[in-house]
Amino acid sequence: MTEITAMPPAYGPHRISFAECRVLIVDDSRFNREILSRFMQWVGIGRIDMAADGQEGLAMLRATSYDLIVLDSGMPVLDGLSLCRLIRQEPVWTDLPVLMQTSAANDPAGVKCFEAGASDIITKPINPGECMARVRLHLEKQFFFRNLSDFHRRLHNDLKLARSMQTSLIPDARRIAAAGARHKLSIEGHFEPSDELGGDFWTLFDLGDDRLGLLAADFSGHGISAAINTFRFHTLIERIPPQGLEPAEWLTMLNRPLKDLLPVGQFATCFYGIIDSRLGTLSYAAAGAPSPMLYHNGQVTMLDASGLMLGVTNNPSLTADTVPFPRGASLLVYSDAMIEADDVGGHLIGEDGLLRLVRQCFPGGENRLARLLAAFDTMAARPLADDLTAICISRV
Amino acid sequence: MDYTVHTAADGLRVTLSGRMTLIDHEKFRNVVDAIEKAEGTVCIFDLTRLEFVDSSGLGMFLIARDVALPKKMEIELYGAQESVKRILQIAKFQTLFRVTP
Repeated sequence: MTEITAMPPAYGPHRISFAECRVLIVDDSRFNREILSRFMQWVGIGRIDMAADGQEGLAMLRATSYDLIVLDSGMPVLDGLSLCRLIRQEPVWTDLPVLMQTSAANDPAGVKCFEAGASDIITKPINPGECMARVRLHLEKQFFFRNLSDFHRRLHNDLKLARSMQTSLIPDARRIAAAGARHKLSIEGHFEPSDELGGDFWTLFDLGDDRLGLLAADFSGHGISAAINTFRFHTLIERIPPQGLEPAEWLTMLNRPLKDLLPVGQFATCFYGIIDSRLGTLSYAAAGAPSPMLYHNGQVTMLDASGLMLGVTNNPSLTADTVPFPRGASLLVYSDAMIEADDVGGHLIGEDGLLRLVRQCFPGGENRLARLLAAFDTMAARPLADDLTAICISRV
Repeated sequence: MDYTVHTAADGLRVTLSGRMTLIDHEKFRNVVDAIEKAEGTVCIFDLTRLEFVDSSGLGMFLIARDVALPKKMEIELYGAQESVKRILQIAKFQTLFRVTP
């Protein structure tokens, strides 16, 4: 269960320091500039610069970066409204707070100022309390906005890195091709987390003597917590390798540490199969995985992959079986996203829907998975709610 | 997902409806709390109006079971529709729960 406690500070300092803020005052009246400057001092602004017209103001803006600008609407050379429009045309200043002084006589509701892109208005004659409150408000807003943007950027970069780490757990095209060539198999794999990170995992094992192992696991949930579980699982596999073990034997061995590792309610559905090219068989064990499909001579057989998921109890009840896997046969292993996705009409695709797709796409040789996924794409409503993994192995 | 919880002479009756997925964890916490407080020997989940359950939903039943077991309360999953029944079957939930038609 997820417990939501107090939010930790997102990123950077928690409170704004006005002493570190820079404000530019643009006003043609020297008296007004001095009054406004006084108000800024009372707020505690660390650096206050002044310009006497819009042109000068623009030059200063270009030279220094400011946190807020206080602008008079009517000025010689370049008036405040025009300067404000120029500011908003520059992408870097899109979010710069612009407070515009206006008089009730010229622009009663400040409509002209807002149309020019002002963040807020201060009506003349200027009330010190109101002016200071608005300056504080907009600086704080800017501060939190920047904090949030920084946090987003950092999170985005972190997730991008984490995603490439997760992708590196999955066999890449070169490894897939090499394993395929060694075992005279055509192997295709697809891995697509629904968020930046996912709870799916699959890999191949070279077991010697013309035997290739295929493991596919799907951790409950998706996103970061499920992804962390895939990393734990990967470590576990390194510690308890499958070599020399029968499928059910190995999954039972993986189950025990997973049971200790995972909290109640978290688990992994799992399929592990050994393709023996010499014997022409597929031996497998499964723990609550979606039924893999075996295609041969135009016929599709659904394999029973039911079983208690790994990590639930100390004695998992797995399904284990050995079935013929002759030349020309294909095995499709997939995550539940493929059958739990809705079609564009809002109906569950289901096992029946996938069966139809396989019957339609698998005849006709190579690139079966590519054809299946292309057909799935035209059918399924995007974005998918869960991670999508699919592996297709054919004996050539 | 929506739920109702009623107290019965022998325990609890919980009806679930709609789609039971990852986003229902917080909501389901209330059901688990009710099981924690309940007296009796059986908690029946009426699934007749549950349209869909994903792996997170299965996890929620496991959490309910974890709370019910120490109290010697049995959990019954009653009346699942075809698609939900298939998911329970794949997960071999009949080995952990009393699954009734």
